[in-house]
Amino acid sequence: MNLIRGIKGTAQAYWITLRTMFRKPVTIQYPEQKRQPFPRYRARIVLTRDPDGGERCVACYLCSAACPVDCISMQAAEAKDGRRYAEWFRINFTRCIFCGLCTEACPTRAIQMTSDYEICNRDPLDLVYEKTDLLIDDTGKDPDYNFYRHAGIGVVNPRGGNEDEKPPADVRDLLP
Amino acid sequence: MASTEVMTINMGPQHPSTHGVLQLVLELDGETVVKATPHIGFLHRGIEKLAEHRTYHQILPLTDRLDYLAPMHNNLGYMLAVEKLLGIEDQIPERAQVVRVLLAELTRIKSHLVWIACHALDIGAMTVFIYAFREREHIMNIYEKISGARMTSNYFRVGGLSADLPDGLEQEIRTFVDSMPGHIDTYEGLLTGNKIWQKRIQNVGVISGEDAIDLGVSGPSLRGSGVDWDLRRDNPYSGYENYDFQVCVDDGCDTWARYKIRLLEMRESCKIIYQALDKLKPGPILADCPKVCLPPKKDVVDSIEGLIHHFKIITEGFKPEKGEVYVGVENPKGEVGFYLNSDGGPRPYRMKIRPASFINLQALPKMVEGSMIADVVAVIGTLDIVLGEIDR
Repeated sequence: MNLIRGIKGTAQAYWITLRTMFRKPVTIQYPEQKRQPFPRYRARIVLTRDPDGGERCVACYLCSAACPVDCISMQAAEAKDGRRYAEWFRINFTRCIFCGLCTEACPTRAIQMTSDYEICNRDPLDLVYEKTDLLIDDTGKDPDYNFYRHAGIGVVNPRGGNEDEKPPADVRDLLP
Repeated sequence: MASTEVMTINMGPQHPSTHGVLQLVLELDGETVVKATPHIGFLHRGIEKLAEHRTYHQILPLTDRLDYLAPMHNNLGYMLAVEKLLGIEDQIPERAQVVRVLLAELTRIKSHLVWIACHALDIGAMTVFIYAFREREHIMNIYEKISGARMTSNYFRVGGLSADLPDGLEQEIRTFVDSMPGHIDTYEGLLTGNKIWQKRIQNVGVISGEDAIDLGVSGPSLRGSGVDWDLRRDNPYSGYENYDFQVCVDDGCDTWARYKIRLLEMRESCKIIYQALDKLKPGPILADCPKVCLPPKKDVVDSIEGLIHHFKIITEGFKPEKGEVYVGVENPKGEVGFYLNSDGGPRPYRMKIRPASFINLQALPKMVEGSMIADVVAVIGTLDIVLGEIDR
């Protein structure tokens, strides 16, 4: 009885293995075949542009404040028209843990995560990305959004002249 | 005349079956283990200390890296602790609660799949490893679709969730869970009837219920010793009281009992997932606590009030009142608890983690002393330890 049970246990396992031989493999041959990650995938960070081609980043430092590992640093500067931008912007990818909190923090949707997961490097210093490495010529995940068409100082339209904006309040006026 | 001295050998830290960087100093008399001393700390990153310098939101990605095989559960435990500290645990929306339970149970299956894979591989059944990782890949894909990462999910937020489930995912989860019982049958077909598997784990790593309680063992390792204790039922959180499920208990006290329990738990998790999918109704995913939860992105980019709240929460965080809380959740490995002590500032004054694996590891010397050296591998596998959680 014991022997029969032993044989049965082994034969059943062999049968399962044999059966699986006729199934389609689920593996992919990685360097040749590449897997396309899903849209929410969190990998290499980029700085996007608005639909008009301007930089979205206004150097508000929110991403660097939200970062739990302090890998984002920048220097804010002001253009002649009063518009803020990042003079330099640096992400240290050796420290980055790809948690996505910077993307969540960005109020102008400038900083976004892409699905490019192949950023390994031999030299760690090459993983310190400067603004030229980060800034892309694309709008990223929110193609129509331009911060200056909704708020901010008059870059696209005169101040308060956007469609969903009210004209600026006259602070010296007592009327409500 | 053979010499009879006791020999001391190191098992690990670089040993494939210690599941990471665990070093066991074994004192052997022949092949019998006289004494086993675990040496830990090779993966110590100081997460508890790091937490003292981060706002409550920033700590969340750190908790992913505790038990990296069940990240959603760590997130859940930490979130519940913060929510209790803030006193907003009653305001979590229904949908968020259900999604949390859904993902917690999916995580339990995922963690148990790694357990069965590695446990079987350690003992010599390699096929199970490959099959279990095939199924785990499905869960990883679901994780990736939801949170954007395969392992370090970072998906839950204080007061709810960071984003809603993507379209069509419920159907995908349902399809996966439909296939899961068949897969579990496959693992059982490969292992349960196999004489070698039975001989290797029956009456190995025996620990009585009293000893298990004395050593603080929790989770399936405790239930394998006949102690009927599951925090999901005995101290429900996230609405677990509304789900109908069985707590699997077996009084075999050995590795075989724990093997059966974990397989049954996977089946029970499938049942909970079905119930959660049925309960899933459209609705808000974040609590209505503007001082704690980030406003929706639409408000941030369209309204000045939303933008101000957004800036305030991200730069300053939120300040819970002075006090301390402890919340324990039933991780796949056992009870994971978060103790938070707030001094009224935006960062916790102290965060203490009660990791399940760390405390379950205490039982290892008791379970292996007096048995053969080959059984040590089986016992490490059955305790289902994760070094990220042990060393923190």
